Amino acid sequence: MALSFKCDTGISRYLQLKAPHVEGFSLVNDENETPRDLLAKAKVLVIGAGGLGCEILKNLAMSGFNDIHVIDMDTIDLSNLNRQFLFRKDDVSKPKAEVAAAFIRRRSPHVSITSHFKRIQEMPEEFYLDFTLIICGLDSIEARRWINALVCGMVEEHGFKGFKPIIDGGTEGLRGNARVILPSINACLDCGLDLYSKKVTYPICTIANTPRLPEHCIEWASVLEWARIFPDKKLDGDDPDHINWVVEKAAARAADFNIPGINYSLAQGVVKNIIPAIASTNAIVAAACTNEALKVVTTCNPYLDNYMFYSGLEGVYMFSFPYARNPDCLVCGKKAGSLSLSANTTLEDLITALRESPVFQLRAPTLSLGQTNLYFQKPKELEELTRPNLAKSIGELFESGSTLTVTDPTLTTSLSVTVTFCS
Amino acid sequence: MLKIWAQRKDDAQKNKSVVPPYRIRLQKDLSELADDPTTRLEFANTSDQTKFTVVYQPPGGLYHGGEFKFSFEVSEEYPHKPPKVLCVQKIYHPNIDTDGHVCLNVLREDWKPVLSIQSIIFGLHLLFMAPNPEDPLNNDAAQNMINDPTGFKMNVTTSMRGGNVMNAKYECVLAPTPAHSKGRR
Amino acid sequence: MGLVLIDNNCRLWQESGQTALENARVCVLGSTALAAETLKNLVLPGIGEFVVVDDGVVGEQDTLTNFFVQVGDQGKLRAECIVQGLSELNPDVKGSAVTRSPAELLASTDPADIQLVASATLVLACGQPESVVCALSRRCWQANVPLVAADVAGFYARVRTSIPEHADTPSDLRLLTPFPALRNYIDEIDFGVLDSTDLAHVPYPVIIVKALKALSLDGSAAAPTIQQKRALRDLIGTMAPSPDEENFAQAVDAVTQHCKPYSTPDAVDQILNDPAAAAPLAADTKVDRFWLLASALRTYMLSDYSQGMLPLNGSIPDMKADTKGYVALQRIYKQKAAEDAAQFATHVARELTEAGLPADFISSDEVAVFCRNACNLRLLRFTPLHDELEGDSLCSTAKSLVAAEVASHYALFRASARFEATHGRYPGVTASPSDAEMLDDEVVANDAAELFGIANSLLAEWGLASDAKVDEDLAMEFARSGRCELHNISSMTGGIVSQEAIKLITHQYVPENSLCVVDGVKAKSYVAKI
Repeated sequence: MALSFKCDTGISRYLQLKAPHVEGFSLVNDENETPRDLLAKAKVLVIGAGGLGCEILKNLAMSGFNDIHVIDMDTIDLSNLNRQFLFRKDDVSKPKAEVAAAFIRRRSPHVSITSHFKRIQEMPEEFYLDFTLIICGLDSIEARRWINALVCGMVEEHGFKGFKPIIDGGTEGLRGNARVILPSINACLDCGLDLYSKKVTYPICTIANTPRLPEHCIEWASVLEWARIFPDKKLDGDDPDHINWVVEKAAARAADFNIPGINYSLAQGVVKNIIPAIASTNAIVAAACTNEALKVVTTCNPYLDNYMFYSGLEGVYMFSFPYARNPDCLVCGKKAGSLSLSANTTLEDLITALRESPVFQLRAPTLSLGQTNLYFQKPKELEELTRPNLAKSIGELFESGSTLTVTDPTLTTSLSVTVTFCS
Repeated sequence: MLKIWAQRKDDAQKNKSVVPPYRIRLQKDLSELADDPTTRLEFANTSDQTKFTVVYQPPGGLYHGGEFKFSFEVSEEYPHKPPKVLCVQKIYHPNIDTDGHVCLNVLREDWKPVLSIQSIIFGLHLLFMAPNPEDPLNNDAAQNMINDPTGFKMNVTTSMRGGNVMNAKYECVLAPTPAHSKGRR
Repeated sequence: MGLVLIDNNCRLWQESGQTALENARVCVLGSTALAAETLKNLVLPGIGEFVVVDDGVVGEQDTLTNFFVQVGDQGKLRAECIVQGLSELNPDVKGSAVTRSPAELLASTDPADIQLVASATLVLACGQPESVVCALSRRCWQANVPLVAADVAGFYARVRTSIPEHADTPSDLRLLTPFPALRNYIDEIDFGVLDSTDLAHVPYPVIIVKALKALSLDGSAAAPTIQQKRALRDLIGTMAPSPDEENFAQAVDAVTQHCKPYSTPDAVDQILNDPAAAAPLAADTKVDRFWLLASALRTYMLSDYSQGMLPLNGSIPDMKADTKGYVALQRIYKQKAAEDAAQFATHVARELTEAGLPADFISSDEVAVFCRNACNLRLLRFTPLHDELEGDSLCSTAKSLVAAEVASHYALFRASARFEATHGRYPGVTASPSDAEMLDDEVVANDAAELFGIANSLLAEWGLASDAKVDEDLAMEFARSGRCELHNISSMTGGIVSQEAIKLITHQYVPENSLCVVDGVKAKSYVAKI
């Protein structure tokens, strides 16, 4: 590999000069790759092409990454244009991922950028296996948890091949955070779920009887009235017809109670439980994410361990600390074990083995396999339903090598037990 | 990336199934419910534990002799968000409106991920043993309970038999076999 | 489409903030990625107008780090390129380029050139040398224009805010001495006739005023003693229909906060006692709305009407209550606030007449906002940036750098400028980049060693020799940077600078006073007051 560079500024400097803060930083790693090679071959997936996503895509393209994929299921709304700077008025109602990718492609023709106008759940595991790392710029906790659980599972199944660091960013008003998740090495997203702010909820009796705030009236319209009038339809916070209906009802109620301050954006904010996003905070958090991506991929400087918090409410406050793993985490803290039994063993004997084995020492294990319930200790209805399985042989119930999900009153979390059949 | 990977401590064997966290948590919650003669669960579809009905018979109090049904719906966000709980019968109760909404703090503002299905069932129990007319959902019932406790008691009995109270007809919720009246553990 | 676009912003900084933003004109010196990224975050939410001053030409490096120039732009004037790219983001924003060198513009005595800076709402210096920053700071200071200067060196960035003063306009219930309307309303409520449900929904201010009256503590000029407060809490406890009523619990909790005599906050007193509040027109700078309003507030406070109390803000916190009781209380406070505001407006009008200014010199909206926030007024005073860079004013506050663990970073920024003054090049940069071969670790190491020496002697100059040592690895990292711009760090710093700019323009939230260093290696910021 020839070591000559035309350009001696920008990122190139960092790929060729000694890194004082990185122990053993070398220009060629064990696999004979230079930092420059690592950057060139890195394949990055960006989840979300909204406010954070637009920034992240721009930053990656301007940092020397040249194989970028972006996935987003949303289309562009007029209200996005005050921060999602890759979109123009003419782009309204087109898919975000496609428009954002096209913009980056025009600006940086040397970058390969691929868009997916899809839900993340629609893509198979093989799709995710193909990336070097994943950057999330999402506003939903559900999507974050989904990808986190998938990636934590992948690393256990495939080892290094399934090891996909997740860099996750989030913003709320003038505050934001970025984190580097190294699955099976540091805290996963579920370990620190309480770091994400909870939905503000109001007592239902206040909403029903003694509203004082415009938010109470909006909740009345969106929770109680909506369910009463449209029992079978889900309220969609992104559907302007739905939100207009809520505004109308909430405004009428607010008028009855002399409460001022109902408007469309507040209604949408309450229904979707969003604290508004603004361009400057998005820029800070997205840049923090892509800066970490650059460091993780090239090793040119130490990466964040593992949580960064930003607040602009009072002065400028940017702070980072290592968030500890939760040993009882339902996603990455699961304990695992294995058993080798004859295929003729009954399920009841398997349960006895789990109780009597010095390794497990369970008291009243409940077992399931994927979606299938094998045996439930309680409640009575599920116990009766699954009781016939006790007498069946495990060979009848599942294949050798299956991994059962076991819960037990003695465990704070669950246990995965892989059962192989011995002859 | 290899260098990062080298930090991994491969001490214990790890799980490789990708059962979503809400399912694991629900399995744990359900399989560890307390044995309780006042409560039973019904599953319309036994392969889907995310939707079930809790059938509850108060062991005493004004609602003794009734059997009350609540639909539970657990979402993928459980336990980050509480289950959706509705009373499926039209009943006369200060904290439950005639559409079935239940005013119970742990179902909304006081929900925490450490709480469980059991915590909600216990909350429902309290609602029947000690209705709270000061945070009402059914205003008429609440006023009635404050101003005329004796009349309220009679109205509860009438409503539970499927009778009319204040021009509204209620559903008959009498239990086929009344629960033991000794109270809970 | 303006309204739909900005409504998200309005939820964060209100309509008054958005109006301030739309009326603002920002002047930016510099046009590299840092300037462009900063401007992006101001153009998107709808700043009124921006001007970019720079004579730089687009080079290869710009096409790699600056998103707002195009690959084919090499050789063109960079300021014009970014103005074009940025203007596309928001058609409501007016952008223009002045393609002259910032140093030359600042040296010019042409009134139009002076006004370009002096009449701006806010000035930003992005990646400018210290000499330019000093000249700019002096001009901004004289013209009372806020200045934010930022520069980057690889993974590190420095943001410095320099403002002659910044008044930050971001609730009291007056329960101990209720105003007549409040007193009458509460007197008419008779707890004796309320049933337990009604009692459970009485707003806590009513409970407290009742309890104060029962103990004959109402109207007292002195704060209740600890014993009296205890008696008050006990009494409130016995008034509750049942022991765990939320509104009575709120009343007990609110005793400490709300049972105290009226007093004007120190920060507001400081403003009222400032010589500028007594004579707003004495200063020879431009007529300042803030001090005119402060002067009006001073005469208002001296008037019989106010009895020495600030105009009531009129908002009340959320509390357990039924709608009727809450709304009634809200109305009473709002009504009183409106009366106070009307009185205050007469003082403002008199002030304007005396100054010979037109009656609409200060809009009624501006008067209303000032009045509503009177109790939150705060004056932040900053050290001028030119004094920091040229004088020895650093000595007195240098310890704050140590306390903030930023002495090393800061000394290295300053040392790099000194190195450049001596050698005509930045540490770690070869003399002529055009014939650069592979960069040598040794060149960087030698420069880092010299930089380390300069930074340590700077610490000694500031009297910090025994408190702080320059981190050797950090010196190496500064030399390694060659003051290059990394897009990520420019973008992050641009985010911070634009957010500070928005706070300064909208007068909402609290801006940093006055130094912030961003460390992109550690993902941390360090702040210190200079």
